[in-house]
Amino acid sequence: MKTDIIKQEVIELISELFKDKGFDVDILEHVNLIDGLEMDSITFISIVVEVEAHFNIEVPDDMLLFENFKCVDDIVSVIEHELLKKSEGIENGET
Amino acid sequence: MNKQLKKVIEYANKHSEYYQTLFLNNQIDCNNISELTFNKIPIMTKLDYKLNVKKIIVDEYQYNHINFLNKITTSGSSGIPLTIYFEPREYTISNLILWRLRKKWYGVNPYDKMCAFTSDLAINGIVMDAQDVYIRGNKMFFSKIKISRESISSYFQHIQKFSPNWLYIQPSVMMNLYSYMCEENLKLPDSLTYIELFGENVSYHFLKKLKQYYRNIDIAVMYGAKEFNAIALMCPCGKMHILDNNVFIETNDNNEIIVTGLVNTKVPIIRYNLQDRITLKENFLCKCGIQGSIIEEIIGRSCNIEYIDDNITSDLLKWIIEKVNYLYSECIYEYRLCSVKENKIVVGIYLNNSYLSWKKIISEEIKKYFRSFLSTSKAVEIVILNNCDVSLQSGKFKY
Repeated sequence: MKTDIIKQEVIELISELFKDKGFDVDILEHVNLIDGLEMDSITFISIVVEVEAHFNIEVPDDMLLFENFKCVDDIVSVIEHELLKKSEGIENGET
Repeated sequence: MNKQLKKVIEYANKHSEYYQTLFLNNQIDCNNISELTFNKIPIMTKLDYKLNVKKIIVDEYQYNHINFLNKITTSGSSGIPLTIYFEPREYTISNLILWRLRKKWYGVNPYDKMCAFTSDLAINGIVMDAQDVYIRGNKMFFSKIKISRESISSYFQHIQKFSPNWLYIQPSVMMNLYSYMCEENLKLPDSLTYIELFGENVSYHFLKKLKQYYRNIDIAVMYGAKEFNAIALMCPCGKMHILDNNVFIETNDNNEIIVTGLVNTKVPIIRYNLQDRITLKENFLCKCGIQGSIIEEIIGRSCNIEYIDDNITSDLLKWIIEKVNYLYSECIYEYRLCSVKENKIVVGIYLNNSYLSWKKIISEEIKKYFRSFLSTSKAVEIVILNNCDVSLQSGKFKY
């Protein structure tokens, strides 16, 4: 899956999730989610749960750090990493 | 052997004074952990945890660094108020494990609007009084200390107005809500898609009744403990799947559930007797696609405090003890309902040594709160206990 498409889908997920907060979708891409969204553990879990469900991945415990989810680009990197691991697993015949 | 379990034990051995001593005294070789060596680890009781928690906490969080840990208080229906410590990131991961399943099976997210009933004294540091309603962001909390027809009617109206996506509710409260709604021919708001029952045993028949009445709403049971967060969640097929990324479960000869936390490595809890009795089925292949251990039945608590007076349950006693402990800095070490008769209730409390000279004041404080809830004909006596051993006394206070 191309980076641009992943990025767009992540932006849509986050803006849908926090639509009540009235964020401008155009700037969401550039916002520091820890400061801008006042990310706490609930926000963090919300984002992880939606991202995992949407992209059909499971983020391993050692990657579950606020720092890895502080902006859209960081989230995209995590997703790409997990999708790659998944496709390599499929190629190697892992179940 | 479970890799995560091994990791928890090895880490506890390296960093926790309590476990270093425990393993040494029991000749447990943590460099060579097998099922056999794991079974040699002594079972921890709630009292063990309470007395030793400062030594259980790993070296990294000793002294002032303890302030970096999350603190969760539980009064517990076993009669021992506990403070549970959890490293914040591990606490988040532990919660995430439950949320993944809630999202997958029931489509809910932490940001969805929720209504919950609680017997906790405080929400986010704000002290709740009985029959309070408290809103924080997308969550509405109701106090469940005294559930009556009036309070249920009021709560129902709040729920209608708030239009939550899901309800987090104890079976006893749900029973009251369900009865009220049946009598008045009422509906829950259309926004509500999921009800999660927690905190008490649920009978199969009651669950079936609820599912028939609330046809368009998913209903599930969650079984957990503040020491570990969620232990099991009911899937859409009706099976209670153990969250085996979060906990490792065994049962003893009395069918008591023995839990080891797999996420909380900084304050490890290994082979902890939760005092609930269950039947476990291992390696069950469910139609939902998950294969693993399920809880077939939750038989009940080994020590159960039931009704005090009419509709007032042991939650009231818990709430009062928690309130007094809040006012007098954890003065009550342990408590129990010694007897309930037609015209008298006797509550035993075991005071922290520093508060022994305050026993009269503390007794009056407890009585004052009781009087505001009980009928005037009922006297309340407070007995100061000299020695408490809940494990010896468990199961002895049934009414």
